[in-house]
Amino acid sequence: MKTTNYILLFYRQLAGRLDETGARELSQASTGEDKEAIGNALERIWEGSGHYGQDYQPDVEAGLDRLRHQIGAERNRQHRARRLRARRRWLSAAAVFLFLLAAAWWLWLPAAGKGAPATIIADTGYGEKERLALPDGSVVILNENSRLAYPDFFAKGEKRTVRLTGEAFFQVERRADQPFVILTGEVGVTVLGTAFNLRAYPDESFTEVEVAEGRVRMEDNRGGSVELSREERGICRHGEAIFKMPAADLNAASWQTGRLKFRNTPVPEVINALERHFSIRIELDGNEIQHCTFDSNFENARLEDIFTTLEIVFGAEIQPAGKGHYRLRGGKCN
Amino acid sequence: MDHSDQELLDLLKQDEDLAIELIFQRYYTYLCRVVYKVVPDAGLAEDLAQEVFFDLWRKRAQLRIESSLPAYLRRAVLNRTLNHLRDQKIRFSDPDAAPPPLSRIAGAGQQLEQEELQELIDRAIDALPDRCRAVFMLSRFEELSYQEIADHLGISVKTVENQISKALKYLRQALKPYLNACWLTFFWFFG
Repeated sequence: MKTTNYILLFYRQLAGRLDETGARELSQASTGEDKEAIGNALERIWEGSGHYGQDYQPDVEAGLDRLRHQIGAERNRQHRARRLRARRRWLSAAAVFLFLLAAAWWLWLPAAGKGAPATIIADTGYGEKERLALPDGSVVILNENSRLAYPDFFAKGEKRTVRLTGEAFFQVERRADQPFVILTGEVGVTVLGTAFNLRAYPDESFTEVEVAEGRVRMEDNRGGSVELSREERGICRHGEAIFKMPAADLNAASWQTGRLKFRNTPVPEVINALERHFSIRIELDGNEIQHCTFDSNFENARLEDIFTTLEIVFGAEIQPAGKGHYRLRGGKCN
Repeated sequence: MDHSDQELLDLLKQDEDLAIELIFQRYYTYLCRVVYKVVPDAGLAEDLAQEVFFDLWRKRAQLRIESSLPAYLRRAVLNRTLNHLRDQKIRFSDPDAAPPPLSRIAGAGQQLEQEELQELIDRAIDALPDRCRAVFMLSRFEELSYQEIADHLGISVKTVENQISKALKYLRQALKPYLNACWLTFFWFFG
């Protein structure tokens, strides 16, 4: 028997892989070289290779830290997903409830003498967005970590007033006799009817309004004010006067700034910008949505969050369809 | 004082954070070394070991371990190592690379102490071509069949045996001047 075959058989035996046939072959083999010498060598090799790498000592504490982070992140992700689901369920239940209540009110009570309006507060947490329908038909899309306080009805003869902390996109119903006023910490925004983005996070040093449609007057609490029209931005930095700037360029530099801006952007263009920015493919599977427009601001947002906004705003459904490939179904314009 | 493996697994199932940490401290180094033997890359070893523990934690509610915990973990990390090798597409189409010649250690012909011999073997294994070493070390794990190794590396079982032969031949060559027929050896089964 060739030495090589003998060696392999012997090695197999050391590894515990030798079957009966092999065992017989091994014991009957006679080779040119001294079997004992070969055996010794192989045993040394077998043992020695088992110890290979014993000097390597990984940093256990560092590894444990890394694991803790990974587990923590996973717990957070699951927690947020649960909260979002719970919130959605709550929203649809609340919407039904409010509808029933309004219907009952309409049927059983006279229109006059309603009394003082109650304040509704809508809150979003980290990674959440919410679409609100105000009593006058205006629509507010609340971005994450934001709060909007608004009355359950707008009394006639008075301004329509709401309070915002954080960021929201407003589509205000046009009412010439009832200006719509949004109060944030330092800045009040008065509109007649228009679409614009208002950003006033308490931990940021500025308040920003960017107008998509119509005219908006922005006032600070020191008597300064500017009037903004379409494609204009008003910025108020704490302690400084309000000033105007042209609206930021659309999404050409989103890959660098991490910012995606959509102003009355047709949905197919929105899809293009997302596809470029995230290197993905999105199929539009719905007729009406192709003709809708979209307004929102995303800063370093995750794709998942942008999808959630689109789903809420248009009542559409976005499903993954393969790696880096998504399908957007359904949806109606606002 | 010390929890047994089964106690730790029970605690883990009950979502006790401490359980995964104790299991990690007990087996992390071991798992890293398993990978390191096949591919002596510390970064890779630590990454694959991490994945195994994270996966263990994620599946904590549905764990069913037939064998022992270390065997389960070892199998898991070997799977990931095999997948890594497969994804790396280690190719055997190149003409067989020859390991570098071994320089002789001073004092040839004398019996070497255990440690020195180990060092010699270590250096010889270091010097093996990557693919050869990977196959040779993988073949040490009895839970991996030659077929499995062959499948993951995209080679035949015959090639697996050839690589093992090559490694053994090279290592025998390395040890030849230092072996004495009267030396006592003992088995040390890896695992």
